[in-house]
Amino acid sequence: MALSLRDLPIKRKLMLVILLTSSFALLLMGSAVITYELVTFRRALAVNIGVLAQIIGSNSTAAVAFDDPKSAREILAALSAEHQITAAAIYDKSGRLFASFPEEVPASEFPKQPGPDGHRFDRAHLVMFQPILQEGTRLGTIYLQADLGVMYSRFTVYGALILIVSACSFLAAMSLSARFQRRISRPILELAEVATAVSERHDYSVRGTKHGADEIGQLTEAFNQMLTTIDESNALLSASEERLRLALEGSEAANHAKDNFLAILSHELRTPLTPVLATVAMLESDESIPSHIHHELEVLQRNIEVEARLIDDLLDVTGITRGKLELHRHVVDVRSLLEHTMQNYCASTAAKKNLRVSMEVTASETCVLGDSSRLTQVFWNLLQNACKFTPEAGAIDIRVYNEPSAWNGEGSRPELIVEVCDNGIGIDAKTLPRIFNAFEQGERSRSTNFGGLGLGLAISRAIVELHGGSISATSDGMDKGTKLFVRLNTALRLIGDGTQKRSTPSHDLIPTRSLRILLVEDHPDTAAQLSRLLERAGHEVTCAGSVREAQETASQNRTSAFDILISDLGLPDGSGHDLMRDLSRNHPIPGIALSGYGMDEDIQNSIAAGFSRHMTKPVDWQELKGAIQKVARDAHAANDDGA
Amino acid sequence: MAFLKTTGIAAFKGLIVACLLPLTIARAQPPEANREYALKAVFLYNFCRFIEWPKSAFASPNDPIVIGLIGEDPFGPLLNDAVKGEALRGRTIQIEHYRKPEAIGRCHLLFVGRSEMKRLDQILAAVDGRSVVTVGESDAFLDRGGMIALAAEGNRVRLHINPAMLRAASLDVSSKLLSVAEIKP
Repeated sequence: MALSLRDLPIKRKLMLVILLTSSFALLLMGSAVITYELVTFRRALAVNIGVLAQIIGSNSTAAVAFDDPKSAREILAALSAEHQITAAAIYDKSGRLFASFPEEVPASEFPKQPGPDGHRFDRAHLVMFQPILQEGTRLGTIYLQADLGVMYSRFTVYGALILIVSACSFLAAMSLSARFQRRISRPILELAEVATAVSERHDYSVRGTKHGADEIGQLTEAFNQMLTTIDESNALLSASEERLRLALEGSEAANHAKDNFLAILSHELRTPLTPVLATVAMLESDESIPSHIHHELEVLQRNIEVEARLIDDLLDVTGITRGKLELHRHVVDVRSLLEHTMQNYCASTAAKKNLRVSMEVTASETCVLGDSSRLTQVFWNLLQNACKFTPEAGAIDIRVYNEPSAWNGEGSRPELIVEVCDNGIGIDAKTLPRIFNAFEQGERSRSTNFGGLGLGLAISRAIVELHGGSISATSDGMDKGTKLFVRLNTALRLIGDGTQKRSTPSHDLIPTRSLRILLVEDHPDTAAQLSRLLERAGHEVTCAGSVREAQETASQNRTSAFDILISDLGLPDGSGHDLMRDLSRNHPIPGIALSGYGMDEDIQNSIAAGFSRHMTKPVDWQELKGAIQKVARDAHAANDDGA
Repeated sequence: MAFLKTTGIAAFKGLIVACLLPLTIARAQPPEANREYALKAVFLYNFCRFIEWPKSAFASPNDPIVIGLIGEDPFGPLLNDAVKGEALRGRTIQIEHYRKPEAIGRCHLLFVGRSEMKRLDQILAAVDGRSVVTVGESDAFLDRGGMIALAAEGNRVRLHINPAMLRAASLDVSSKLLSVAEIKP
């Protein structure tokens, strides 16, 4: 009970406190009354008996003085009216028992001698001795004995009375406290309910009702104020959240718009490059042109290619930021990728700057699971950077080696590390952490010297990370050279895998044969240049400027009259995809799509429409030539198989 | 003494007896009589407590209360013992002896012994109109005009009072005294 007192509901607590207090007060009051009554009663009794003794004594003076016990007995007999007097006696001057009351009690029951004057209480009686005085002279002594039973019976009545009053008061206090405790407990309980509502429903709009200006009222007010404050700050918070959300949406929209803009921009920038490249390629193969012009054409071609690459990078970056970079994974030999990249994209640049490029392969595991063209892009970027930032007659060392994987689990394979090391301008420690961020390329002054948008490393990092690898750079400081590391997880080389063959450019090895080509291109310059290049390569070309024209041409000549369809996708009266689907319904025909858009999504759409290849403008002539041969051969082989 | 015995011893003896007789009689009283007079002595003193005299009975506030005895003295030293050193309302108590009624002087209480009953009329006449409490020893005393009689009954002494006579003498008797007395007639 005592332990659980603190857990009692506040109602019970209040009632208990009130009842305990009132009971204690009643008890105290009762005992005070009884004690007071006891003292008063004893005193009153002593006084009464004293007066009685005086009266009897005074009345009996003559009886004592004239030796008249009979009269004395008569006087004492009057005491029979006083019920509380149980015994009385008169002693004469010499202390002899003179008269006694009641008469039937033998003299031996009375004190032999009078005791000292005054009264005393024993257990059941008040005993009193008083002198019998006549004009100041003591004539004898009177003895009275009063029974206290009267007093005790009176106190029994008192006790019962106090008990009854206490019981009534207790009941009254209980019913009153049950009513009055509500004034205290109800506001507290209401406040507790409000607090529960707040904590359970997070409803800060509820308010406690104030019942008075006491402490509970103050508490309620403070509580309400607190709720108001929370409510207001909540409103502020949600308002600022809303603002933030809007700002975020705005910036996301802006970012999206930027990405779209970049995508469209790069496409629009790229489209005009296609005819230029085609024209240059055509002129280069024209043997009637003098050799000094050839040299200038090379310059032209190289610069256009650089520009095309820049635009490609821009496209890639927009693809990365939109999360649209996808990998077509298969087992790739990194060694052959590197060799191919060096020979095809890096050798001429290095030769021009008189750079010494060496490659040292110590790795036994050189295969990774990855996208060969994307990895080529990474290595191309690394080598381009190395060439770009290495002064004349510098050296570029490529090392390929294995390291045990950081992950040492069951069946873990070693990592393949490609290290590209130059002795060029290096990177200062401040810039080093930022070089893999888009649009960062060392100091601004330097970027002006070296050209480029600074996207290469950012794209490379995204690609490597998509492959589950990592890319990092170290430099000992300015003019101390740079080392770039690409870490990739190795894969088991598959037996009979065609990776090497596929990744190795093979178009030069394949003999060309004459094909009937349907070329659909709405851009007249591009169409003219391409058809000239194709004709010069020995093919038979029919041109169409729109979907409708192409369909007419095909139906006039029968679809089977063409070996291959080369079509732009963005046509004035429809898309190349529709044309492809339409034509292949009548007769299956291999196709190559040409488009300014080079995203993975675009490529997927072209494949889905029936194209065998999707090439991004500006089209590399050599590549297109190879692609035509390959597509035609594959289709021929398929036809042969079908036959 | 041998001489005395041998010559006129009887005459001498008679003389001595005659001389000592009153004393001897008193001395020779039985113990009952002794006790009776001891009580009566105390009663005489106690009357002074319960009876008030008019102021005129005293010459001054310090005047003593005088108890008079007429004729033979039956008390011996007993009365003297009872009143010796006692004082009431600032007054001492004196005892006076009178041989004849004519000799009765200023007194407040007069004890008339049995021997004086024959001269009672003279005695009462002597104190008449003087606020003197007359105390006798028999109902006859009351019948003849006395105020209080001390009547011996066995070994006790009873009070008989004629309050009318007391009132007639301007004497105030306490009711308490009356309550223990037998009222006559």
